[in-house]
Amino acid sequence: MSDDRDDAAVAAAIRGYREELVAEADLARSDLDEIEDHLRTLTDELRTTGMPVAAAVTEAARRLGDPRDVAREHARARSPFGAKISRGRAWSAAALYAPMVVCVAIVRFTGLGFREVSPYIHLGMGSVLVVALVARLTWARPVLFGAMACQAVVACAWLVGVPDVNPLSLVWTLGTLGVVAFLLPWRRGELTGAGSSLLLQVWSFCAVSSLVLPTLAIALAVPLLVAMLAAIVAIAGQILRARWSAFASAMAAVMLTFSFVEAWSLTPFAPDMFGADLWRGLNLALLGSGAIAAAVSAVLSWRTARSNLGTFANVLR
Amino acid sequence: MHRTMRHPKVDRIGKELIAASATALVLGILQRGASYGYAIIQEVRDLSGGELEWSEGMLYPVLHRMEDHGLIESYEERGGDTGRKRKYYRLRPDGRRALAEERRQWDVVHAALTNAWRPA
Repeated sequence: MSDDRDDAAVAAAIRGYREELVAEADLARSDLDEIEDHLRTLTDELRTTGMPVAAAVTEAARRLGDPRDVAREHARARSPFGAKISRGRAWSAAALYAPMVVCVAIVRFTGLGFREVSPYIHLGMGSVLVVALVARLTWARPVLFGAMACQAVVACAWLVGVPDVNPLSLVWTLGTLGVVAFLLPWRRGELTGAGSSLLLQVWSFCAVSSLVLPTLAIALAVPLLVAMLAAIVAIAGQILRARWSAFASAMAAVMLTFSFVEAWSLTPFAPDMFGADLWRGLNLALLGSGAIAAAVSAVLSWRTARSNLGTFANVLR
Repeated sequence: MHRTMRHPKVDRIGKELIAASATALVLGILQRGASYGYAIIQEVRDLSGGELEWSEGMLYPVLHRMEDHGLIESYEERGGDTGRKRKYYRLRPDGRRALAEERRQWDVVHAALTNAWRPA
């Protein structure tokens, strides 16, 4: 009878520890089982020394460590690109982002027609990102955060540069900032080195693709196109944690630095409603930040690569 | 419960040194044969004469990182005495190479310290 009560007390204490772990981070079941096995083994051993059951469980939990610290450390080790974002934040960001994807697709279909490829690519990429975010795959957060942060800068510059603010532009900007706020790594260490590298690679890609035609893009068509392709390759390689991703980032950095230097002497043709200085500043800021982001991500990518060719193991984590 | 039971404890060996030596120790222990978390902790304690006190829950993230790096691999097996399913770890070829490199580096550090602390 007494043994049954002891076993029940041990089970309750272990359940409590497990619940505290789960409350702090989204641990895999196998990881929780492993910790539970440790707790049980340690408790059993302490009880064989004659320690009362309550004291044995308490001592075992103390030696295992604060469940919040243990859970956080586990989450960091298990997530290749950073701690898993909470369900609430991931789904809120997805709920804001999904209508934006649909709106852009509609506008592009209307403007370009159904025979053009571009709206389909946008819709496809956007849908993949929404699904990845809902599933809380760890690469989705740095990818979408990098993209939306860059878009937010452009959208804010647009609001500042254009005197008559279109209400739709305002809504768009607020939506972009909302997604950024939900995905922002508020705490230190939320993103790993690989996650930060991915974020920067996406920023450099978006910086190039945001350069507004026709002025800079025509004058620097070749280096910008190479930079854009290199950034796409770098992003794909980084998700696979492949070493070649670093080379692609370095290539993007070189092309963007060259473009920045060349663009310095160019006078971009600003749209009618946009101030020329602000327009030039925006383009240079995008090129410069893109070059720096690509250079830093090349170093991070090299240091965080898991193999030369990469592996699909991290894609669904 | 666990939070209230935490009490200040003076580590025998500094946390930084414990963290720095963790990979080398785990690789060394797994070189002798497959093992599981609790047994690895016990072995570390025995090998250090009780001087190395790991925060036990922190061992698993170390093991998972090493697994992610391809140094070790895990498999599940039912434990003999308890009958519970338990996760075991064993060394991979990359782990053996990493162990050789760890040994070389620790030997360098050890030799440098020995020389530095030799009376003039």
